[in-house]
Amino acid sequence: MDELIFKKATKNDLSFVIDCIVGAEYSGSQILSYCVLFDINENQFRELLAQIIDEEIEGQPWNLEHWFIGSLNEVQVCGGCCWIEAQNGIGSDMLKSQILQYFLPDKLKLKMEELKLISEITIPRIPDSIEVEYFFTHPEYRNRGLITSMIYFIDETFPNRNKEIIMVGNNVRAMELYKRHGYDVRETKTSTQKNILTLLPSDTKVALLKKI
Amino acid sequence: MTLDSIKLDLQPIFATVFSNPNITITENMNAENVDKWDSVTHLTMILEVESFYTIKFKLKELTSMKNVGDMIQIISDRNLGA
Repeated sequence: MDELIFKKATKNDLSFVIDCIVGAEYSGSQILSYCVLFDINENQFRELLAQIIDEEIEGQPWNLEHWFIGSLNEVQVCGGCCWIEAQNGIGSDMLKSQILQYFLPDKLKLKMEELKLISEITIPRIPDSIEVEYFFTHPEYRNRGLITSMIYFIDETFPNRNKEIIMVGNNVRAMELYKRHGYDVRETKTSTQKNILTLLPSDTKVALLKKI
Repeated sequence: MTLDSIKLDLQPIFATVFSNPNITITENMNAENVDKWDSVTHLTMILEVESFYTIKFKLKELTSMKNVGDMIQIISDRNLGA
């Protein structure tokens, strides 16, 4: 088998990183939450991501600095993101809120009720842990163990820190994979509001933690 | 505009946003130590502050605010109300 090589993402990987974010946000569903929430289409969401990534804001997943790309024969096949939570004193969820507030202020004003619904199942992240997010494999390269390789890569890169994954609850297959590699369920939150499913692929969020 | 006068301005905004009429503004307040301060109430608070001062925070300002003290300083630096 060809050797899988990981490297830090560069600006040349921007398009693939955005593919990874969009693919992971769908999480196997037909719902792209940010599009539903802000009444934008997928292309507009991609353009928004490119603008945000260009700002190079550390401590949250929309920053190329926190991305790594896996390649086979110099072809991008998988990617993921990780950062140290709240290293600069501000949590990543708060940073993302501030970023969206800056880029989409008028849309946010109209969507406060929907945001409250999502907020009810938001699980606070653990400061100083490695947050793992947006692990994604190109559809043509699935079922080759690439996600497992990314898990090992993160473990080897950050051997002395706890790792945390916060994910929507519908991706049972991925959750079972993470559990097989040492992650345990730390917290689960489920919404009692049925209309949450118009906004998110699942009514549940799960926090998985791998302790050192 | 003094830092104390900005604190006074923020008092009713915070009382409303965080549903706490007795809330007292301090510099070290942030999401870690204020009840009901989550990403949504944070957004509401920022929108209300921007509306009150008729300003729009820059992205770098927003992403560098670690606590209320930082926000007060940023508002003061803008020389508002002079």
